[in-house]
Parts: sequence; C-alpha cells; structure tokens
Amino acid sequence: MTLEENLKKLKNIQPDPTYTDYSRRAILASVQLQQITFGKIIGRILETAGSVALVGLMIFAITGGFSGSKYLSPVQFSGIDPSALHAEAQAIDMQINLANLTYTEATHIAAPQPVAPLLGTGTADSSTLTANVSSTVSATAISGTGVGSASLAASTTQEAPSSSISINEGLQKLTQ
Amino acid sequence: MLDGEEKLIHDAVKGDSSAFGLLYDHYQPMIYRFVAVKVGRREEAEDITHQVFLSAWQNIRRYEHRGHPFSSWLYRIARNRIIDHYRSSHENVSLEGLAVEEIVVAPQNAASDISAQLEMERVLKALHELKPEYQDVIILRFIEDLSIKETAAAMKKTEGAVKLMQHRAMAELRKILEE
Repeated sequence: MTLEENLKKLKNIQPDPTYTDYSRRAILASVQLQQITFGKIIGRILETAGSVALVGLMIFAITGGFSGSKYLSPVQFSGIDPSALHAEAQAIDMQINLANLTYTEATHIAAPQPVAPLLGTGTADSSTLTANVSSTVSATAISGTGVGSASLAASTTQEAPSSSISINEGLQKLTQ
Repeated sequence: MLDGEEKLIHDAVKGDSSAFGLLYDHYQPMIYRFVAVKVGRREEAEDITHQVFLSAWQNIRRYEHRGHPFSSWLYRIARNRIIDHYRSSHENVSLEGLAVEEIVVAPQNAASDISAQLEMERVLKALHELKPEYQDVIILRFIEDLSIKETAAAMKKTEGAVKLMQHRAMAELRKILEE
C-alpha cells in the first residue's frame, strides 16, 4: 500500500454527530458581530463627546446661577408691545386700588348720614341710604319697627363699626 | 465546491443563518478532519472546529469573494486557531500525547483489519513530526483532495511554492516512515 493510499484512509476521520448537532445549533443561535467602520467609530466618539459637553454645560450653568427666563421670557411676538402690556397691567392694579379706596371712604363718611335724618324727621333720606349698604340695612330695620332694640343695636354695631356710635346716639334721642 | 455556494455566502453575509447552516454542513467535516489530524485529540479538535465556525459566522460580513472557494477562508481561520491554541496552551503535541484511536474511525469493511488501523496510526504519528506547513500541504492535498490552486489559497502561498512544499513534505514523510 502506498503512502498516498494510507493518507487517503485518514479521510475516515469524522466528527461525532452529537457534537456536530450541538455545535451547529450553538453557532447559528449566536449573534453576528456588527461591522465596525471608521465612520461608526467617529460617530460614537462624537456622540459621547457631545453628551459629556452638554452635561458639563448644564452643570456649569446651574451652579453659576444662570436663568433662562432672562432670555426666554416674555416671548417676543411681533404684534404685541410688551411695554404697553406692562403699562396696562399697572393701570388695572391702580383702578382696583382706587375703587377699594373710594368704597372705604364712602363707608366711613356716609354711615352717620342716614341715621341722623331718620332721628330728626322720622324718615330716611333715600339718596343717603343707597350710598352705604351696611348702614341702609340697620337704618331700615330701625325705621320699620320704630322701636329701639339693644340686640338690633348690637348687630348693627358688628356689621358697621364706623356707624355704631351714631346709631346709639340716635337711640338715645328717641328715648328722650 | 458546494453547488450555489456564492448564493449561500451572499445570503449568509446578509445574516441568513439557514444559508450558513448549509455551508456548515458541507465544510464542517473537512475542517474537523484538518484540525483533528493537526492536534491529535478529539476534544481539542471539537473545540477548535467550533471556534472556527463561530468566528466564521460572526465575521462573515468581512468575507470578500476573490475567486477562491469558501473553504480556503475556513482553512485559514482554522490554521490561525490552531496556532493560537498552541500559544495559549504552551505545549506541543508529543507522540505519546496523540489519541489516534479517538479520532480515527476505521471503515466498516476493514474493522477486522488491525494492520490497516495500525498503519494509519503510524502515518498519523509520522505526520505530526513534520513542520506545520508540511502537515498542512499534505492534509489539504492528499486527505482533502484540494487542488494546487485551492491549497495555495488556503495557505496564502503561490502555486509554485505549494508544489515545492508538497514534494519536500512527502519526501520527509517517507523518510520518517522508513526509519
């Protein structure tokens, strides 16, 4: 038998079928590696560097007291004048304050007026009554009953402290 | 060469595992044989063969068809894996370490031919005494029946160099067997 024929017989070397089956399934179940290109490497580096830079910038801005509202608010629209809006807002506040002031002054001043005519003439002045709502209530109660009442005087005092002295004086006059 | 090999390779490159499975079925026995003859131990041959095909599957996107058969690429991976195996294990295959009976399967009609079995073992041991390159050229040319061109592609040599190596390898093998 020649050497070549002996070498041919080594072709009888065969893998174990069980091993072959196991190996085949294991290999095909594995995931293929992604091809790494120069562009992908550069992309990854830029992505990472960008993320780090952005985080660093945010940390720097936060620790440095940066406020975006200075630059971002109010948002500028072409059809709106911010200064006009600001002035209008200021004017609204002023009107509210003036209305409150007028109401307070009217309450303070007008309260004695409906009681005094009532005590003197026995009738209430309608124009005066409408000027002060709280005083109108107490005055109507007094004129309707025609009788002085301690409890009525007390309730009137609670509702309108500014006018309670005048009512008591009126009651005193009535009793005289 | 496998029928429709280019189509199978093309599909495998695109991630078709069934296409690669067919390539595996066709080439695995010859790669296993190549590795088994080189390392001489069944378990090591199985491990290395598995690594060869795993590496081939995971890196098949890098494969470029240059007119050589797919087996040339697999043989090159196998050769590198065997070199890595010996580097990592820091040991050489000794004649005593060969488990020839583990890897050699005698043909059925020669089961009773003990002398043929002994002759194969003797040839295998003589083969292991050759330089790795001589082993490769003998395995590829005479066991796997590859052509000169295919052998040259697998070994990254010129056809002339393969012819010369084959001549020297056979002469040396005969000399070893005669001793």
